[in-house]
Amino acid sequence: MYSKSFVKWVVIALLAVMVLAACQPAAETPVVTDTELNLLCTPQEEWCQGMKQEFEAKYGITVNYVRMSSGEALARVNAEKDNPQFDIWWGGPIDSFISAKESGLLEPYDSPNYANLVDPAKTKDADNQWVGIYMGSLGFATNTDWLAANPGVEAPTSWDDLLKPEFKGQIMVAHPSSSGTSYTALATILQIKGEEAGWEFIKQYAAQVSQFTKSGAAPAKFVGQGEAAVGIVFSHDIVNEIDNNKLPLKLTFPAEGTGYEIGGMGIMKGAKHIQAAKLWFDWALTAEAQALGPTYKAYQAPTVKGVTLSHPELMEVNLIDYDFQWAGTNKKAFVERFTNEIVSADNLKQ
Amino acid sequence: MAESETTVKVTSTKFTGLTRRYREFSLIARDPVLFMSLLFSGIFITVFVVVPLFRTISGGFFNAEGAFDLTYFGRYFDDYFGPGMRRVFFDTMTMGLLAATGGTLVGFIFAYALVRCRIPGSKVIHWLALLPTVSPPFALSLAMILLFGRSGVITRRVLGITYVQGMNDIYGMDGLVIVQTITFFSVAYLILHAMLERLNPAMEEAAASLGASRFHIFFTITLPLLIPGIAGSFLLLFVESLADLGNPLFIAGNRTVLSAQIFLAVIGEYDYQKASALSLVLIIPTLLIFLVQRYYVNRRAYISVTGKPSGSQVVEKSPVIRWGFNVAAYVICGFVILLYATIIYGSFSEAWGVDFTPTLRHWQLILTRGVEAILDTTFLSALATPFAAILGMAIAWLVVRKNFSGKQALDFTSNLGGAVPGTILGIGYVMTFNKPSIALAIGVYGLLALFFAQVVGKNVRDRLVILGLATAAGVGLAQAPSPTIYTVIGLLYFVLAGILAVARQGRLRVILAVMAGIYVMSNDWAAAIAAPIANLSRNMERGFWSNAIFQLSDQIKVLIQPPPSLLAIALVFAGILLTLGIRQRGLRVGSGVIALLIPCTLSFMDVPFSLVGGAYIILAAYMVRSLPASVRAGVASLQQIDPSIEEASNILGADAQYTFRKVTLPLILPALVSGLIFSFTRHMTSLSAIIFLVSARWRIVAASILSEWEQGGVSIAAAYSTVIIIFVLAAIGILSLVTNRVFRGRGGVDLSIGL
Repeated sequence: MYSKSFVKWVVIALLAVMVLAACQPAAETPVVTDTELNLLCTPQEEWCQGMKQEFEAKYGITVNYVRMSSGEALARVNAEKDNPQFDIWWGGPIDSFISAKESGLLEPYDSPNYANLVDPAKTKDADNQWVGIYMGSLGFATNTDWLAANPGVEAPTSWDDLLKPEFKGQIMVAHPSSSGTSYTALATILQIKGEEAGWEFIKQYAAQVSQFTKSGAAPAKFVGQGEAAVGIVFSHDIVNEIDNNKLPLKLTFPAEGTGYEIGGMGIMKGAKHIQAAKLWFDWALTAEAQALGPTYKAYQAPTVKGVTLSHPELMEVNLIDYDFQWAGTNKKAFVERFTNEIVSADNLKQ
Repeated sequence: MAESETTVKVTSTKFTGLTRRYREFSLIARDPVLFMSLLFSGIFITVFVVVPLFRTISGGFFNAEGAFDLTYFGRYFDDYFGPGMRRVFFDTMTMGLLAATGGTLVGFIFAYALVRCRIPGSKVIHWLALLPTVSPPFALSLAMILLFGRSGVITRRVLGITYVQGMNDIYGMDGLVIVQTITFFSVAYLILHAMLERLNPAMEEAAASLGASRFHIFFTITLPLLIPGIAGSFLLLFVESLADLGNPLFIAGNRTVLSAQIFLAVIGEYDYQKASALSLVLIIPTLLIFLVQRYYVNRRAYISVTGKPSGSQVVEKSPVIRWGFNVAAYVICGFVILLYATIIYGSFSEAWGVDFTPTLRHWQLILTRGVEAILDTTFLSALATPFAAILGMAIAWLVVRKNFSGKQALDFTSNLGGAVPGTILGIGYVMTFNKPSIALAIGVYGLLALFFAQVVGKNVRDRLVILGLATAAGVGLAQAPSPTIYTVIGLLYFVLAGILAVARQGRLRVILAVMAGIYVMSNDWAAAIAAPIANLSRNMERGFWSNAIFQLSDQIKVLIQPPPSLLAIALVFAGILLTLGIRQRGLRVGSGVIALLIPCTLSFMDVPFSLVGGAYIILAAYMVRSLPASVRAGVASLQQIDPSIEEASNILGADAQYTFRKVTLPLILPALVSGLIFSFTRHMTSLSAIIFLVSARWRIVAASILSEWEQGGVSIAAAYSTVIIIFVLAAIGILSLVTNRVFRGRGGVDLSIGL
């Protein structure tokens, strides 16, 4: 049992804390009266949580976030169109943001920090509805144990390598309907090979796939654990698995060119905490915020000036001139075609 | 299990039928508490079961522009989409049939081993057989992949199998069926255990003494007597299997089943029309089976519910058969233990499949970033539990003890919400409560207001005055933009308290009115009350405590800031209790107007019933999902209580409410407790119904597991699963302990009662 005086002191201390807390000024920046921000977060949970904490510590605004894959997130903001629950959507390939813009879900915002962008022409929407916050290239993750067990097999270095018989039933990639990663891969193939030949290729390559996962980064994990041999994943996710989770993976890139993503950010139209959302928007476009990625195991390349790249080699590969507008506009049609013609095709067995 | 309906058959002409109904309702209306419970359950079920399901189903027939459109149904029959669509449908049915067969078989093995084979360690075996009901539905998929995946411990390390192309792996139909069998067999076990125990041994003994062989007896007597149980559990399992979302998402590989297809249609293609159309396809077999199970199989139950285990049990004498069953049960138990041990160890291992070194890394991660989800889930589950159990009990009481038109409908719809696949309900919730039509609010308010006027007013003029004045003033007040509307309403309650004092309505009512006023007013203070806690969390170092404490401020707000449209429903009833029976006409009408004006204002404030993104929509989904278990538990226990005890109380002058409180309630408490346990378990482990309802503020562990499974890795998913299992077991332990103390050993908690 605690003594009476101890309890008394605890009560006094608590009261004092409450009084102090109540007397505090609202926030550092007097214009912002919001005390909360509802964040829709698409990158990995650890980064979401990390950014939440950094933002809270800096501005004293509590961030509520939920992590959803980019397809899930787009479905959600579409459903909540008339009564948006989120203030800002942070992360996930900009295809989804282009699609959201076309549905009129985003609020334009002319941030003073657009000046920080390295390449505003590419990483910013002309109408200021979305902006790029990170970039990352697609790569192949191959299980090194599996390579050792199969002498003579090399990790794939071109898209065509994926069709080799030794990879049959050993490739893992996410489903493009739920994953932005996988949609980027799909759109990359269609851009490299042209639509006609691209779909033919996709048909053959889908027959090699062992499983379509829901989340884009998942194949890296599964391949690392040996559930499959090769995964098609963003290279920064592969680096994370190699560096932090010590999974036996080898990172390779397709020589004929690989696609890349620009991770987007946009304020929701009708956001209930618009001031806090703008504050986050501005903050996310600073070098200080973008330099935080590697602390939370996110190795994407920044979009603003003044940040040293944690893994510059990931962006120094043969990148195609990825057409985001085209990819975003055709997303629904392509995904539907993929779902109906490819995944349900009879040649696709476990 | 068996529910014998005691419907009064209406055989008279239409005219007398109508008169009877009118009479019946005026009789019920004389007992406001009875009528209130009827009205409240009716409204709850209509708003949270019938309307959302109707929205989902009808959504499939209309395209985004609102035009009638059968595209997605047509796809089943064309050549382009048809093969794929049909294959998913047949895969779903195959999965349901196989899982139901497997689950029933395993359940039978356990039931037979425990009842007839004197299996050593029966207590432990019993609890192990129930273990799968307390874990998150996909925890077992997770364990199966960890053990038998391509790099699973058993496949790779123990058996040394390296996956080569073309080899059959755990992903796919086979793995899915095994996992569902283990997940759902508990239900079959409980049903068959109860049946076997209550089986009268006389017939088998008679047959044996007449010289029938063991197998002859089994196939001609035991099995036919068990057919209702076997059929019932088969059908129940079939429905559960079809509704399952977690396992197919995890382990089905490239096979898709309907529940997953619906899920992907929403999250991947954000096509609600397609999801709705597929929902109808999934709901038809579910409903058919559900109806067959309820109205055909249950009627053919050959046992009497009131019958206690009848005397001696037949015991299996042949050692071969006895040990055959026992060993089979032991093996399956061993498998269950292995699966759960895997989940727990999985949460501690560095990187499963690569590095098995124990580490606390994952637990640290989920403690900081998962604490909100864990606290939210536990808080909402616990908050919904008593409401679900009480509502279930009230419905059971109405269904078993009272006669009224629409009783069958109430019984059926209260079970419906738990029987349909949760995904369908979730989609319905998003479609209904995002921007609800005003008709919903008008309907609910209209019904309540009519009832209010009927009960409080003594004649037509009174009633019209109350209705007219209160509605006009309420709607007006709701439109007036006022930041302190709740304070105004609270003050109205103080006025009401004054009137009650003048009318000499007793101190209790006055105090209750003042308290209602303070509660409503506290809505406006919620921010102020929660702010110090939120600020405290903001000033702390970021991490576990700051997240946990902030959640507390959110939870306080949930308690004092219910959505106005739901608060209104509760306040109508509060108003009736406060103003009922005032003699002086002027005071009666005046207090009636005020007591109805308040809920009217709340009913039409802001956008009524726009619940998406809040805590209450999750609470409602939880309650709807667990309601059937509470109702069934209540029905089963009420049927065992002789109504003459209640009748005696009525004859001696007690009203329905007093009888319920003093006579019925003490008798059904054990069922109430098992209803509580079932509800809490169901809440903590439900995924499919709430996956579309999680929001930034209200995150749910089951949804986090799904997200972390692929993103953060299996170990984090395993850690979350372990947390859920521990919390549920702890809750069961505490509830059982409390009940045992209260009942001092008499009448323990019978878990099988809710099935």
